[in-house]
Amino acid sequence: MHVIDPEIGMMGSAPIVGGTISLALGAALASKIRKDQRVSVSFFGDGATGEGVLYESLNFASLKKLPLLFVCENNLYSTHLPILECRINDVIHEIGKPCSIATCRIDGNNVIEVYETAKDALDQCRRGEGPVFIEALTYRLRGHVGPDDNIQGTHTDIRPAEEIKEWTRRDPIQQFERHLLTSGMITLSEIEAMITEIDSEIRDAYQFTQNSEFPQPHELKNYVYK
Amino acid sequence: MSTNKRTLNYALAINEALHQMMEMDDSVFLIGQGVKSPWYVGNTARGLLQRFGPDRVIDTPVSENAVTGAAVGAAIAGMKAVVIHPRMDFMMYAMDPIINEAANWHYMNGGRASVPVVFWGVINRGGEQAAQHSQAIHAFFSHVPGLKVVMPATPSDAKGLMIAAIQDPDPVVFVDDRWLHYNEESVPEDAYAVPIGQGAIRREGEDVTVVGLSYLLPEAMRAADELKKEGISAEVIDLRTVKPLDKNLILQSLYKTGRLVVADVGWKSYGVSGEITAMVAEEAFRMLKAPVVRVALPDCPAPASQSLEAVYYPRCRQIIDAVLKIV
Repeated sequence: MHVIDPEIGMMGSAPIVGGTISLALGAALASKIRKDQRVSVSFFGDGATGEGVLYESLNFASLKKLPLLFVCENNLYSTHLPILECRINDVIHEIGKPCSIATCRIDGNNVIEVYETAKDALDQCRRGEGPVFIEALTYRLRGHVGPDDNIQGTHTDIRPAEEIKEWTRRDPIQQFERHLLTSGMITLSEIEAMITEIDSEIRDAYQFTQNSEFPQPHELKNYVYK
Repeated sequence: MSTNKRTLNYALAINEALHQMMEMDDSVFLIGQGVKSPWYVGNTARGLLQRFGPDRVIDTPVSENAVTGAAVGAAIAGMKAVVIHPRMDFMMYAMDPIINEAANWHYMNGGRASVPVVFWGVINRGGEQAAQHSQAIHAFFSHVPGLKVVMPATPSDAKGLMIAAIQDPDPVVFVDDRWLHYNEESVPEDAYAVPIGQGAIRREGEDVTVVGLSYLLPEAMRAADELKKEGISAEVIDLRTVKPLDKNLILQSLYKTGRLVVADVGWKSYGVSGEITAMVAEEAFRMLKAPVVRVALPDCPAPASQSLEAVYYPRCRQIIDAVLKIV
């Protein structure tokens, strides 16, 4: 929650499921007004398709031909509830069609397919052809909250163990790693060096949090207003 | 400020604020239902589309949630957005972007991004428009940390508070009332801001303080005229900003008069009149020579029939009666 880094274009994230979709709509509108060639990307899950603001946003984005890429990460569960208990069907991308939005469904665990589809979609947005909708099929390998909660066998997950096992075999990072290795684009020792580097970055970040003070009581009302 | 005695009505004063701010700052834009149509927004948007074009004056489908969210998102992305709801009842559809997103954004992101957006809602009461077309929901917004709420009562303040709202780095809810749109007075021609958070003494008096808001401010002024004939000297405060509340102005007046009538354009329970009364009870209990009296809408939806509207909306008479109870 509350992940933000405006300097690199990460404009924010929020736990109100569909709430940020219209914010991305506004960022795309800002780009259109300023003619700055930027594209906004809205990431949301299959659960957000139950909220009305998505449909309002699809219509408005298409109506105004806004440079907006809708990315629905369909992990088949809305927190605990299987997709077919929330939706009349499990094919999400088609909701863009009544609004004349180009849509597609891809394997969200295939890094190259995600990259190529996104690149084409962003180009289309930049050409002023209006929004694109990508449904990326994927799965939640960990819990909805925290690393362990909602995992079969430990807490409250209702997902079948066999299903979790199957999707674990389709882990996108491991798939991509195998692809890089078999095509000879990278060596095992290069991968190990990367892992060491990433581990160390994570450790540093963790250490930074451990060494940081908690906010002081007098800071409670900081940032309510600018 | 200009010394020109040129007059403008309330709607055209807002219109002038929008013209000036859009001229001065390319990042200002207006979005919402009916900005192309005087039927929706009166004269407040006159000439804007012709002057600034459809990229910055954007009429929209009836999609309050997405459109308001778009204004918030554009503000986060560096624009200064003004989103109009020609009937504020429809802002109920937009509570999520206003409250969950805009009001909280700066706080929950540790000050990394602010949201310079104006949520402009028009109260459209009267004329037998009934329960879903007449509501004054300023108290809802005033409850929420992170929002500011302004309700100008005069044409000069309508212009100055719209400019202040657009310039403000935080989300501001700007509420006007169609009943005020044709009120006219001298309005300075330059682009001036009326500070958010400051009320104004509209009339000095000794015996009782009357706090008036929005359309009840002119009614309070008429009440003060009538009371004067009976030898009662009323001090009239125009609240202008509902949040943050100008506590000092009210307390200083109360220090002089010791008696308080609060006239709010919303419902009586859990609203602005209750908030001011509670603030006075907490901070100035010993100054009170008499109980506080509240003039507000009864706890009842807006009726359709004009015979019921006549008893539903308080006017000058109710303010006079309130004063006479305690003086």
